[in-house]
Amino acid sequence: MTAYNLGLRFEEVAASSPDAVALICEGDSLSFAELDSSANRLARWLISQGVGKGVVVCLELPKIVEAYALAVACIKIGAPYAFLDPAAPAERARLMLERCRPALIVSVREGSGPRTVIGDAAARAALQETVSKFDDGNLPLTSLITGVDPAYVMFTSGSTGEPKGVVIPHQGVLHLIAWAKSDLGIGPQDRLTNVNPIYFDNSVFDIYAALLNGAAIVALDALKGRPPAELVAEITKHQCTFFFAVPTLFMFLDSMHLLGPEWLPSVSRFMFGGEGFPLARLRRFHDAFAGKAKLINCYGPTETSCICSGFEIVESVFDTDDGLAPLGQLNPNFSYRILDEDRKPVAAGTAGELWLGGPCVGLGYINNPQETARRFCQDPLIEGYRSILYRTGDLVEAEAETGVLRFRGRADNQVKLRGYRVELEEIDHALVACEGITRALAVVLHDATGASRLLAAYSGAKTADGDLRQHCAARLPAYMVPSRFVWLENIPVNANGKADRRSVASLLGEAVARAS
Amino acid sequence: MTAKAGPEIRSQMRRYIEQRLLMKGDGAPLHDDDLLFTSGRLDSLDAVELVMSIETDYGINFADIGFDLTRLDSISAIAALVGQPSAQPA
Repeated sequence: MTAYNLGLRFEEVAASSPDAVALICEGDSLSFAELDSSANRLARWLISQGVGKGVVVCLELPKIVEAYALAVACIKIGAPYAFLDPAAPAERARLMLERCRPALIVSVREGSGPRTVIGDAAARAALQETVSKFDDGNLPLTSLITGVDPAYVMFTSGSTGEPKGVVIPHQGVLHLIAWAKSDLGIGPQDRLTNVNPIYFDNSVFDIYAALLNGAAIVALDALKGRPPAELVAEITKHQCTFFFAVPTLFMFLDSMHLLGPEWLPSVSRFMFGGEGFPLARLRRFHDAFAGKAKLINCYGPTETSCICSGFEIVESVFDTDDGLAPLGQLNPNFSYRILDEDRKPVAAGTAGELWLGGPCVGLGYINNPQETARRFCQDPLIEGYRSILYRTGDLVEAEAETGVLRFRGRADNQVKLRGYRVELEEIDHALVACEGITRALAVVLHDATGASRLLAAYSGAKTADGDLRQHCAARLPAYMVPSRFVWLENIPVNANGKADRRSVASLLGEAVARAS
Repeated sequence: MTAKAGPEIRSQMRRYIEQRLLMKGDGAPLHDDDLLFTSGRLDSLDAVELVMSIETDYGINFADIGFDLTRLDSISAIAALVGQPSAQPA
């Protein structure tokens, strides 16, 4: 029988290749059999801590062995896990925990809630000692989990001022890994990098496209505080064959003269997504690896199980005056509609909002029925039975003959910064919470090469930049903290009296240029 | 854009970079010739910010220098690049 949930699929792989390498992390290497045993023990320990099917477990952990083993343990008992950034500001962490209502938090830091802290070697050893007493055989209850049961919760920026936790079912990830096998050719011969932050959607691909296709994950710390040449050397040392990251990282490596086959000889496929890759920069990447490695542009909202389309970069991509590579055709199992503002299908060759359907669509935002109702909607073209589509907010155009999608902008104020999804309103809300500030608008300015930076305009009490930065840093992750703040006597408004982000952006563009 | 003398550019860049390092919890001393990106003290996110800041403030076009970040790898390197007459905007 085909595996119908992630736990059973993992057990199949572990049974067929027990000695193959599953995880390289912190200098250690674990086989599939070892990772499976460890996950089974942890699963029983989780149950002893009151965790059960359908109950959320928060994993506030960096890339340590326990993080991966706990994720596998959770999928085996049907407890959706949520990876949280262990460096997130306390206020943001509190908001995410409140939404999750977890039965258990495993963290590297102290805090509120039912929590096991493994912040140092002694605490990790103590947990290992406790866990080692549990049985390491597979659990019968894994077979009771269905494809529509939740597998994980992934947080993303929210326009109401707080992050939203997307709930993704097992079947969504099963389709993702099937695509990774059929279209990207991922199999036991591969080693995938996990450079993407573990609490970031892209790492779902790294972890499951690898483990559930019999390939190994190589856990790598992002660049924080370490020389980029070291990261590249480590990828080569571990003979990684597949390297998935955001364009910002690849552009950085290129700018440091580290993105070439002489530095990354083992990599046969590079994949990037999360933000557009400016064509001028992509051209350099493509030329450097021509005939040596494939480059794949992928696309997909967090709400639809990480990735919904991919496009292999070919020479003709550079003949267009599009500025960005195509998003590609939607993967099998996705249905879609491209609709105008009146929820009517657009004419061929016209841009409209992409609505996605099928088994990869998430189950909603955890404990947040208002936001769920806003984005997960009944297909407006279907009456008489239930058909839920996810409104991506992405404006796309489909090529009539091929169905290849091209990105044409956003229907709202969501932006991509260094691959992270950011709702500008979340930054506005954070700034307005600062004493004396009456109104605030965050905007993104782009330069000619496609790079972007975040700025904010505010009105009310004039406040020192350093204070505003500190205020934001206490509420928002680092990539969401504006790099400059500009005081305006009045924030421009449009005809409806609403703050006009576009005029503010052009005002700030001028203000920043004047300030130099 | 006004022409700026070398020492002023250096102190402006120093302030800017020190502030970014502090945000990352890096309060270690910073010398003019210390490597910023090669050393890993500044990362890919900082690179985008620094490049855009230099583009806006000094009219340098990153494409014109071949997207070469090693030319911005220290305070001295940035000051030298920004101070070059050829690097000034038309």
